[in-house]
Amino acid sequence: MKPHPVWEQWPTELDWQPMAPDLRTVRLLAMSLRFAILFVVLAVPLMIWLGPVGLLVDLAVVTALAAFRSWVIVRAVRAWGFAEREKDLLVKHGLLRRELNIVPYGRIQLVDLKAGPLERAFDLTTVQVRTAALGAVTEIPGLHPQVAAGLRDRLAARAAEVREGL
Amino acid sequence: MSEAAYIGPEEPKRRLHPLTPLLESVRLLVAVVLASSWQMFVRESITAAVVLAVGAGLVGAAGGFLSWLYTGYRVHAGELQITEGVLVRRSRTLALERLQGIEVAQPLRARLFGLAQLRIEVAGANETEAPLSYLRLDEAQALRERLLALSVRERAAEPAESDKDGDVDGGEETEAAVEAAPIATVPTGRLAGSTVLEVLPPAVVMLGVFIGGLAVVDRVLGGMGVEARLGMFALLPVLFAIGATLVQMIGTVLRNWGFTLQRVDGRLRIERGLTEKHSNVVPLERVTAVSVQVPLLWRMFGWRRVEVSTASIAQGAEGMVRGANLLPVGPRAQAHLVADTALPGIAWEQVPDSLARPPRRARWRVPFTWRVRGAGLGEQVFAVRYGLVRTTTVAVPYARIQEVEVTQGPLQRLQSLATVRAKIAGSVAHDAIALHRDAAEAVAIAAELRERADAAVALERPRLF
Repeated sequence: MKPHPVWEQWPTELDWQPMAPDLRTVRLLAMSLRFAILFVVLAVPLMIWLGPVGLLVDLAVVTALAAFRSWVIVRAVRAWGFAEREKDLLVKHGLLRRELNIVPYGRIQLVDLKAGPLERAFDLTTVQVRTAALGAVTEIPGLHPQVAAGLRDRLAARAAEVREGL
Repeated sequence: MSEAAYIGPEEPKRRLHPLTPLLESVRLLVAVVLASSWQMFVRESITAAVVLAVGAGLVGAAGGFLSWLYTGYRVHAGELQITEGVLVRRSRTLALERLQGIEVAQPLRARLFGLAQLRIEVAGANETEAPLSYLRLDEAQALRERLLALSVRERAAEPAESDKDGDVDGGEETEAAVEAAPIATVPTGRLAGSTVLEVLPPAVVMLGVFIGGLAVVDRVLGGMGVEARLGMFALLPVLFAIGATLVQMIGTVLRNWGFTLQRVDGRLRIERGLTEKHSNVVPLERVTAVSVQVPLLWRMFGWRRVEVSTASIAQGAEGMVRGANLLPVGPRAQAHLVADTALPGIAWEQVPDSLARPPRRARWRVPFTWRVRGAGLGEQVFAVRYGLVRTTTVAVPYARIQEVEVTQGPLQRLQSLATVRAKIAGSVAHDAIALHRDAAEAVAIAAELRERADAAVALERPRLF
């Protein structure tokens, strides 16, 4: 029995929207930056411990970790998706730990658009959706700004609709 | 001081009670006394100590007086505005339509002077709101009534609702009005007994493990020829543990002394405390979930505890993220009555039967609690049960569900399991989580929760969340 991710078992067919492929690049660049810092941080203790060989060990370790992490990131980005249903928004993400968030339109309190410097360089935006359940943010990263703005407007409109419909 | 009969366009700011800086500086006073007696001890001169004490006292008094002068509160345009701060002016506003509950608390030092604190809980806050300290007791109670009445008015769609709950002038009405018979009270004997049964066993077990461990280590070392006086090491932690346990038990008993639960109009009023008196009011429609807890040893007597969650972050003087206690301990029938008052229409006797256990293959993930765990979709609530030492059953009305989440860790995926989580307003600690269900069942539950939530919300009056 092949293990299936949770969202493949959803009762009805869903139209999952993918993230922009540039998201992969952004995530990989951010990861490289972190690993470069790690390399520098580890260099000194390893050199003290092993001598000049330490530098090579450092490089090998960091490269191995970075390679594994890149593979994870590439697959994880492919696993992100969102779908707008009639009454709620579904967001799926995660590689090792799969997560499916279902946010009803009528419960949406806040929709934020966020973009860090790397994201801006690649013209991407993250949409953050918040409800009254604090400490839980549903995020959709890697959207083009127009798509993000459109999504935000649709969410706001549907939220107002549902509330008035009551 | 008489209250205004209506909210005028510009209401004057009111000051807190003048004794406030004195009460706030009690801790400072204690520190100063300690410091000056230390000075006295070291330098062996009384003058230095006296000078230090007087100097610190004057500085503290001046600071306290200034801060009292510049602190004010007023009710304006559906909000409670509190301004404070001398150098850096801070103004906090609490939107009354988001009001979750108000507590009038009287810490011991305030009670001596007949003063009280007002602890206001608001939804959507990023942190606990600091209490409004100190007001005269009757002022605090009147302000509470007024804020509660206003909070209903802010939310009311029909005028009939607001008229029923009272007008704006808080002072005269609801205190004298419906003095309903208490729904539940807790006799002191039961409170003490139940606290001992709940707190003592884990403490004793831990102590036993600790001492046992030390004895084993001692034996091993003795076998190796090392003479270790481990008894000395054991004494201090053991005494400390015993002391801490005693303090905890006494604290719990004092906190819930004379516990009384009443229902006044659409609100629940909880009064408790011996040295510190607390009077907490929770509007019924703010209840987002109810949990019934049964600590292990309470089963002998059939005792239960009932807690409710509202949308505020941290509740209670403990500062922990726990629900408001509707019944610290009570027999089964009483607990069901209380739970029914908070969330009407749930047949609590039938809830355990409606819960289904996780599938057998999940047993190794939660070996100790597998038998206890259960989740079920009732008529009006989503119910989840967990916990071995303290078995807790949480019921969330469908209408109060905010988001639904289905997660699947790597091990779970291999076994085709998943976890469903119904998120409610407020802190994530109050969510209803059904752990390790069959993956297809989990997704079906999630879909069903969404449908039932939509149906339930459609029947309600529009509300903030």
